[in-house]
Amino acid sequence: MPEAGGRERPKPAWRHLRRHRRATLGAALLLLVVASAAGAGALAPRDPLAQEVLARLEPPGWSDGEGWTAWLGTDHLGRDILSRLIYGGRVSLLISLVSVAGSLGLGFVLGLAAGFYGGPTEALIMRLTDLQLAFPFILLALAIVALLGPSLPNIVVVFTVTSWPIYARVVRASVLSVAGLDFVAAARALGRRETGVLLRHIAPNTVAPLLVIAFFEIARMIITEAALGFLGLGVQPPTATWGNMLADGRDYIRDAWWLSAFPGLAIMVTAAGVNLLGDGLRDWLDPREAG
Amino acid sequence: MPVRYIVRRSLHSLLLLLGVSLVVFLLLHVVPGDPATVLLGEQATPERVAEIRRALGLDRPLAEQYWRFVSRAVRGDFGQSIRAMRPVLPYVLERLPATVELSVGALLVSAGLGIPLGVLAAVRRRSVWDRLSLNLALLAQSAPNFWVGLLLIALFSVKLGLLPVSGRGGFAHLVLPSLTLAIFFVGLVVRLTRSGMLEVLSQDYVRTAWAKGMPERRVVFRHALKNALIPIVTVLGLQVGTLLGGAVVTETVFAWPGMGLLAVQAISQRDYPVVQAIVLLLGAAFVAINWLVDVSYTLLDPRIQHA
Repeated sequence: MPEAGGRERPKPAWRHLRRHRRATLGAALLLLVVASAAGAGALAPRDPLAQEVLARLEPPGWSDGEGWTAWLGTDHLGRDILSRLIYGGRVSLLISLVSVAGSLGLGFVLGLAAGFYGGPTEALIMRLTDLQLAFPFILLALAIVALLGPSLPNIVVVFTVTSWPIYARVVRASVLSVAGLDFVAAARALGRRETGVLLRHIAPNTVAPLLVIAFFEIARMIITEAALGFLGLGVQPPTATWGNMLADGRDYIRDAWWLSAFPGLAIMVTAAGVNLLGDGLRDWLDPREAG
Repeated sequence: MPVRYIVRRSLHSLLLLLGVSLVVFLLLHVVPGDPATVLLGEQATPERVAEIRRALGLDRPLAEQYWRFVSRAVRGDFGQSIRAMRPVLPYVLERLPATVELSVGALLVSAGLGIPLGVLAAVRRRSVWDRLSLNLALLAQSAPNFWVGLLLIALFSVKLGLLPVSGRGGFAHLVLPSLTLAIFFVGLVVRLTRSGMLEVLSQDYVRTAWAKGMPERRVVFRHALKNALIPIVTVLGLQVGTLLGGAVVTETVFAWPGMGLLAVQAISQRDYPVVQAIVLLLGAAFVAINWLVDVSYTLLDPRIQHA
């Protein structure tokens, strides 16, 4: 049982993460992706949509002799793959970050309500979370996006609405474990109102595990968004997204491996970066599982 | 008392199944506008729209429609496929063996690769093997499986000519799709096995086994792994949805004629009775598998207590 004083304060997260070599690597990878997506306008060597009929399917390192070197090659329409990769990161990051923020917020509120109020509120919310696990996420997302129309806002909405339950479960569990502790009873005894107890004393104690999950969820969203694009239901072409690039690459897998190799690598590096950071954060919060 | 638990667990599963059917039913109604027009597209003639409305019962109140949907589904009647013009259920079920084959293949690969690696990582904690396994698990869980599938095709089918590019046939056809679908789960199983083993290896009965001078192999496999497996199977049961979702993508990459490929085709053709049947069947499979996992534990392991 935690005591009010005398307990050693844990080191702040960033100091822990700095010593955690894997987390540092994750942060570096993620920083690379975020920075290149944010600075796409300045960093991309070419317009990601510019087609060049005479430069179709050129291999990595190809140069037109007039100052354009396609470091990662060109695609079937003669577009610069590196530039499309850099711009494609924007879509992946935007969709995954906004969806995770949205579902985290929704799950947080519903999880607090379930844990704090109990009774039928809790029963209803928890049955909804059971339900979500029963569906193959990607299939449900595909079906709804196909009906609503494959646009960026629709994808974000579908991802948000189908992904909140994991946060709600975790928040509810934390609320239940915190609600019986002495400091909550003390706050009540001091005459705090119920909403005050909930927001000032219980809610802050549920945040840490949520952040860990959020990192793993970002990776999952990035991969799912790419899968949607690969199946033709992501943000529509000609917008450069990693999933769209992989869908194009599939048709040329026999002769031009670079069309599919690089976007997949970008997805894996980004997801690995987020996962590594999530691992580091989890080890900090729960050293029992640490590598 | 296991009987009371089994009854309660079964009721819970039934309730869940009802929820699944409600979501599947509402799938068509979440879209603003008329479902019949959504199904047929904006260019459809008013006659065709009216025909579909009547055929699907869309002119009835929502509650009545849901009741009709459920009572028919229970009898195996999911209506007619709009594109294939034949009853949905046999159309979908003839794709089931292919998906089961692929999923079982993937589970075997995941267990066959993931459990030994996870055990090795735990037993030789902080060794090169441990680090190698963890990094492999990280990459496996970060790589999009359809991309891995494409790379495998490029390498083993196109370049080396060892394995078929696509389709279903004998064992050779199954290798690349199973590997592709397994990739995420290999990572998951490695992590679960590792942390499960670490926990079990520190238990008293394992120390006793060591102290008695038992050979390492016996301690690790007889005493530790057997007990570490239970949480692994539970988590895998909860991931059945992810597995089937992965099958959707994998089947598309390899033109594997299962339910996932059919679902993607039906979605792109707006053949929603087919989509509904597939989502409902996959949801039911999830509910059934998890019921089985939970109930068999109660019967196998008397220590498991249920509040």
